[in-house]
Amino acid sequence: MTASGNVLLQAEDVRFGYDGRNAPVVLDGVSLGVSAGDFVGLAGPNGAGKTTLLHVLTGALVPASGTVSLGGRNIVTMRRREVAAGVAVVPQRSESAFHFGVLEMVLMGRQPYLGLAAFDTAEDVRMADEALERVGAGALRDKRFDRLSGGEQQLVMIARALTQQAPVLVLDEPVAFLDLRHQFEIMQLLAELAREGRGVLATFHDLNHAARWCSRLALLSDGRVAASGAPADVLQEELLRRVYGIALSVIPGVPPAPPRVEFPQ
Amino acid sequence: MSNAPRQHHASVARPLTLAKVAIPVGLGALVCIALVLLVPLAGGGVNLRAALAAGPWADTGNVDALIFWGTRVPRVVLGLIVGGSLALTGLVLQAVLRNPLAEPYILGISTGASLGRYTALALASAGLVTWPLFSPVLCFVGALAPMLILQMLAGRHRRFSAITILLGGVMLNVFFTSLILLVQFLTDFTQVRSMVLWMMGALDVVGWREVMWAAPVALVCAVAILFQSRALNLLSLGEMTAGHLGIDVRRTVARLLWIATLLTSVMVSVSGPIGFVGLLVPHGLRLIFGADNRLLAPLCVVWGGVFLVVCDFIGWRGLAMLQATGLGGGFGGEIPIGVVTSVLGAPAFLWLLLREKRGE
Repeated sequence: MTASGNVLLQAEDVRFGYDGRNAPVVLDGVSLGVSAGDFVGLAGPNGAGKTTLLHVLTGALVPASGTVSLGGRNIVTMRRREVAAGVAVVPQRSESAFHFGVLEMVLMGRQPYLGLAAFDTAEDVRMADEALERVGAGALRDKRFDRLSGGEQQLVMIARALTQQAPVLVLDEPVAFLDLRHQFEIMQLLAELAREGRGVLATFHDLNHAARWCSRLALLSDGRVAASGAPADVLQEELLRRVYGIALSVIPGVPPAPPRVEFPQ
Repeated sequence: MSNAPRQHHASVARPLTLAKVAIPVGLGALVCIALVLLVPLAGGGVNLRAALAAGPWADTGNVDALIFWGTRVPRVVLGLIVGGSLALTGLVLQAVLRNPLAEPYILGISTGASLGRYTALALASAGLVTWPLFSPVLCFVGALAPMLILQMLAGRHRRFSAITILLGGVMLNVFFTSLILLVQFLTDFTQVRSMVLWMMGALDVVGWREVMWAAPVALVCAVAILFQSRALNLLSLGEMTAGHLGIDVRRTVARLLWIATLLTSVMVSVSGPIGFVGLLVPHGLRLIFGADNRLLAPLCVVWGGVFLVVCDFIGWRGLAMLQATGLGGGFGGEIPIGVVTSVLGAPAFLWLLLREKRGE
């Protein structure tokens, strides 16, 4: 199940700037697509526009020009509920002033499919349980969400995204702040979800993570896509120096091992 | 946090089923009915059998019926309506502002409504306005102003923290209170005492007129909120997350805040500003039943009413009971209900603030 031209989510020549005088343009003609089976890593320096791009791609922000299409439809014209059924978002952190349980949190992913009826059906609960098992967090089911560790919370958020049953999964720095075991587990999980036919898009700071697990890597710099393609093609010393402003070394890997990026000595 | 020792009352999450809602709500409803029948008998002086025999609609000149049906029953009924509405409003504000300490009185919304009513009263007593709906309309406008300001503070880009929003609300409260004092100062002094008493919150001067005015509003608003209770859960996770999960945030929040404003202003217009009900009741219920607003919303309606009627009972009979033991001096009358709820509520608020800071 590789990218077979089945583009699920597509940004085309998207421009965006926040309101305000002298506000700089944050996205300056970005085009990026996520196909079924793709695991796209989005990297770039702080302030390059990664998070803004995620917001535009998920319909939370409306681009000044250009279009975002989800399942072939312009996302701006879709209802929130339809968008939520098409793309599930895992925020970097999820905090609530109220103490929801893990199962309650995961069940909230069923929102796009529910009418005004307030109750959870057995089917909803089965889906939530299945999603928790799928991410390996079945044991957390009856715990309080706010008492979990950062890694466990991230797993639960991914489970919630799975109950949303959206073909596209978008994650904002899914492994930032996590310990090594959770980093590994979550990256493996995301790659697996992509292999099953979902489109996965996630932002990363660690290029080696992205190179190891992503099928495609897009490097964002000053609101533009500086490069996009297979990790081995994107990770070039000259390009990285231009984008990040430091002389990183790229150690080529023997295929299928990806290249490795290292700090200057 | 994760390696903390086993917690005692961690609310264990189970899917929400009809039975899980119906049992505690039904129990609350039964308590409400019991209160309507029993509270009017306290304090004596009424023959229940005679009152029941006379019936609520017969104008027989029967004194028992007059006291029972004419003043005491509507007082309890209004207490149930106002208490349930205020508790529900508190729950809505807490979810929308993502702040467990939000409450219409603390945030200045009730006080804004009071200022509206004061102004209407002052203008009416000066003979400047005769339109009968002027007072409720000004009440609504007075509640709307702080609500809009708070919504701006809480805004979608989350420019201010929960504590900042709370501080903003407290300042609005102080501001409106000063304006109320100004209006009092400018008003004919014969009016002032009744104004001051009303400002303490009062259910003792009501009759069926107030019930007839408050009940339909409360019913419509409560039903509307109950149907949005799932959205309340999602909104309490933040507007961005709620949007990603399929909520039309701008519309839903606007709808909820309009309803909360209407509900607060109508309740204030019939009973004066009664504080802390919207804080204490949702919090108490949350400790027992967890955070799910689909369960909390109907519970707030019934148990908020029970709470306020009990507070009113304490205010009504408390002084008399105290005097019966020889304490309480020679003052007659009742302790205003707003005083009772504030005396209970303010310390509870401080306790909750400390708990929030400790992150429990």
